[in-house]
Amino acid sequence: MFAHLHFHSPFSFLDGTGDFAETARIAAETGIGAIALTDHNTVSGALRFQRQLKEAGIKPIIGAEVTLEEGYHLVLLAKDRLGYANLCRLLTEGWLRSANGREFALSLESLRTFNRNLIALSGCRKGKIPALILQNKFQEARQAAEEYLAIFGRENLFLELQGNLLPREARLNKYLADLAAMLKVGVVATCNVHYPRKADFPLHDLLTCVRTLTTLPELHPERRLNAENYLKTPEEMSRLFREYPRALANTALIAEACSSGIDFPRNIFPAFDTPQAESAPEFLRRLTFMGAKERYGRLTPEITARLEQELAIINQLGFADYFLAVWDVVRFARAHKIRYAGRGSAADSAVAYCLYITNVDAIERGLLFERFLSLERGEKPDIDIDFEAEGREKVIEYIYRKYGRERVATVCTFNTFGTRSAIRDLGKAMGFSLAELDRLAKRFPWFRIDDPVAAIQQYPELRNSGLPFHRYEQLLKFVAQVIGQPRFIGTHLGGVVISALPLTDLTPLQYGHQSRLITQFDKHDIEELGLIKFDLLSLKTLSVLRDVAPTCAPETIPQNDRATYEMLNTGETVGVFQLESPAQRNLQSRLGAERMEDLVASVALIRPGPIEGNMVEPYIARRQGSEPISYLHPDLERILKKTYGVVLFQEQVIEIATVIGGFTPGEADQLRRVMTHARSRAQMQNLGALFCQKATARGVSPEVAETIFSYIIGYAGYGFCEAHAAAFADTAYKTAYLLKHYPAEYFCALLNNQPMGFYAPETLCVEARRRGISILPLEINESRREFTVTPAGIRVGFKQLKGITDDTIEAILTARAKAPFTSLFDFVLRVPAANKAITEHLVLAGAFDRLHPNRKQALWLLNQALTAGRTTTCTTNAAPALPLAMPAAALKAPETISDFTQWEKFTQERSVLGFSADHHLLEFYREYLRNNAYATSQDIKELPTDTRVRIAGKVVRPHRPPTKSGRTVVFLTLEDEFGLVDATVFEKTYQSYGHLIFTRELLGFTGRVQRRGKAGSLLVEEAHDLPRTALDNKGPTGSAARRADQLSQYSTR
Amino acid sequence: MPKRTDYPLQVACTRQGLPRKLIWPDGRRSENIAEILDYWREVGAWWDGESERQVYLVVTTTQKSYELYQVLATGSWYLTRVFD
Repeated sequence: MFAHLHFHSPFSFLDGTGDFAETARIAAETGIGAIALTDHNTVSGALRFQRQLKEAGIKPIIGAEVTLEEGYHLVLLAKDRLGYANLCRLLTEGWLRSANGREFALSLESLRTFNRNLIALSGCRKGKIPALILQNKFQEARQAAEEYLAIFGRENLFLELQGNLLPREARLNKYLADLAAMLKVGVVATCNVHYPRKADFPLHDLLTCVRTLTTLPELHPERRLNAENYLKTPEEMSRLFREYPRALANTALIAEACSSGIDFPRNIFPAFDTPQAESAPEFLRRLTFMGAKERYGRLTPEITARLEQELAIINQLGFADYFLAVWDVVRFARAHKIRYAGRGSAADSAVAYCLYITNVDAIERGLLFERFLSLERGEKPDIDIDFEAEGREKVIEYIYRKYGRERVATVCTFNTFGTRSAIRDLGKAMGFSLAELDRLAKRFPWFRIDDPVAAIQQYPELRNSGLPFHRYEQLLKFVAQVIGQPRFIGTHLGGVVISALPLTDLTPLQYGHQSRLITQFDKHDIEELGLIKFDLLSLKTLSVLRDVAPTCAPETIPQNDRATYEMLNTGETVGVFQLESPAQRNLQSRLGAERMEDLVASVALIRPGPIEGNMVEPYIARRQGSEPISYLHPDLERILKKTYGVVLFQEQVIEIATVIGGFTPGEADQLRRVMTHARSRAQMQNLGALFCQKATARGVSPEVAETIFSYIIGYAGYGFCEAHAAAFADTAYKTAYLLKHYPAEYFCALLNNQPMGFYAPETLCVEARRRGISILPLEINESRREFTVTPAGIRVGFKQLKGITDDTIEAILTARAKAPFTSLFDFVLRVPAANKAITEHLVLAGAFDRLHPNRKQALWLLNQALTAGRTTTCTTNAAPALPLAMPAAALKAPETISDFTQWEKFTQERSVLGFSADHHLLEFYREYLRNNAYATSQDIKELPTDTRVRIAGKVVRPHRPPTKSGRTVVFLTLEDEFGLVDATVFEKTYQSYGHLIFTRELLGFTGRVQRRGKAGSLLVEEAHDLPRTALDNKGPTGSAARRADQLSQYSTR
Repeated sequence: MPKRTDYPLQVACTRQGLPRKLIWPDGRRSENIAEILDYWREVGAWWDGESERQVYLVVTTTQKSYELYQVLATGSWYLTRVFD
């Protein structure tokens, strides 16, 4: 048996390529018996590697190639769990104890401490022994070998002979073999694999260029001389090492000495520190029933039975400690007034509700606990909790304090190559200019495209782009190969693990974002180590609720507020959590929501699963009573009654499969996995065949079985579980209430918590203005740090200014607190923290308009003031009396400097603030649009259906959700100075105009007005650029005037 | 000092495919290889269409050192460096 014992994967981050499946396939085909994963300073790929190799019958060995303090490499292989734990400790030491904490460096001292059950191989040419031999420093090489020998012992140290056909290789291998013989240690044949197939070399070479920031024609020592670092067959290795049969035989010997991958304990969650010597199950039971009394008041037999049943399952699965830990976390949050909301399938649990982990009454809603936890699945619970952003940090700190830093870590995430990032990275290495790559990358849709070459014909924004694609043929082939490969390790947004054992027994730790310790395994792998993950996520909406709380505390919001539902029914829901997308606004205008159940359904309806399952229209029709509710099978009535016979939630899909199809718990679980994890249409089709077969055997007609399954096939796409939808609907209702009753405070909070939600600040400002709330410009003597509500409207805050720092804002506010600024000179003098660029931005944002109405003159003055003012020493804290060193009169700008045009001011404000407080882009085109009979967004609301119109607007968030037919439908929002109008573009029109729709900020459209429900929308027939002459750069010439007169110009054809 | 060239020549090989004798294109001059000092493989500028080559550093019976390579795709030989 031959084993490859030095193998790098893409987890060597830009020093390895290819996937584990391909590696396993080659190994199985060519008779490689075992492979050791030896990525640089990480075991991140270990679990995926061992899963894939075991599946193919190949023995996986876990190891790593570590970098020592002197920069030398050394390969370490774990013989067993203990060896693996030592490897994890060494990797942690190397990451945490290095000089800067960012580059790995392992000391010999650490190797001396944690060497048990590890096998060491001397490494590639960067290994200390081979490197010294290549420098003809034979004595030092021997000393290095003796040093390793002292650490690892004779049976655990092997000198690596590599077969990569490099210069001086034969000589090097001979010296290594002689040295090994001299020291009586073994030799081993390796190939320093960095890619599975020889044909993968060019991509690896290109990735090396990305890693070393070079281009292909440039030389760099890291670039490999040849394509010999592939997974060579045992025959090829035999030929290369025919002079060293022992080195070949030792590969098998080492592989036998190592365990087949690493097995981990099932559950290593720490025991919760319960009071009064209660056991965890007892304590959990007591807390649950205490909470139940608070939640329900009176405990009915039904409630008690449900809680007892849940507790029994939780205890039987051994998760009482976990529930207590989560309870403890939310208890901390409540005690510290940190807003949170449990989400996901945890809301299926009445125990979680009683412990205040979630806010959804699972019993009242009839939610199935089995969707969350079941004895059959025995799967670990996954509780996700959203926190307001700042509060989340306090919660995480609390967890660290409680369990100790060695037992808590944040889960890592792997940043992978996407289409756009791969184009930029690989293209740069291939020598394309950044500007050219930017043009190319931006033309590709933002989502992942596995075949970028085919995409050129598929997407009109690419096809009609005029880009010279023949130049990018090779680049796009490389892009296709690298998409999805890990590029670097990062910090997961919310995943935290807590362990009973020191974490370094299970995973190496390294520094992540904000120096937080992260695991080397991501959320997909972490549970396999026996760890349970908390998802403590940051939800900006909760921060918004917190910000509005002084005006209206969310706890005081009444249920079933009629005015709130009336607002929802108009579809004017921009800003409402989960209900603000065009599809949601359209749904709201048609659904006629009047209770929380409608919002729960709304949240679940606009998801790929129900959309692809064609559930939306039937649901609306049945909800409104315009279509009878019928059930294809009598058993469906009980399952689907509350959703009017429509399959809406994942729970319903599982129940249908169980009740109608007679799925076993295992099969139902498989279905659940496809819906929640795999989302594979092929797997869903297989389950469909099984469903039809089993349902037919149970007496259901084949046609009915087929039809029932066709309802649920769309759930291979993404769908919500009811519990999750209910948790989101609760928050959605609260935000809708605040929007209705406290719009100024609510929009202000939304603007202060950007980025969040579906729309950019500019669109939120349009919507606020439409609701009669003025947006007041940045003003040097009025604005505060953030957006603030004033009697006159929402005042823009300093934080919105591009490039400004917290310190500068603080300096401005401190100086202003002493006395208002009287001039630009005064400002320059008293706020030295504001540099020239920031002060210019303030001028361009209009912050000095009251003091200096002519902005161009103000910029001229700024230069003068900076020269004069900064040479003047201001030694007192009092407002300086002008002039100090220079008469104010001397700082007068020439009258001949005329101000910027309105258009210039508008574009400058957008550049430094992201939007203009006073004007909208369309105002500058309105005269042309009016003269050419273009409608406005408000016209669309009043025009009858099928009216053919022209309309122009800013194109907001064009997107193409999945459709049942698989054809492209683009949804977008057109924004003008009066508001928003949603537009739909079907496949044929998209193919003709997609290149405009996805690349232009401003477009004109021709189409037909659609009226469904209370809102009007546009069905696009044609898109066009507005002529250059349409821009009136002198400024807006009118507003909404003459709108009524124009309505008569549109005809219904 | 080595002189860099890219000079096509014929090479007679052993049964194992190793270079044995260098034959200049005019066919009138040849040198026997006494020893292969080193050998390695190179990919060259693959992005410009260069193909893989096997390189040999040899010393001839006349005590001259040469670096030569064989283009693996075509089997052609080239002399690339001569060491005086």
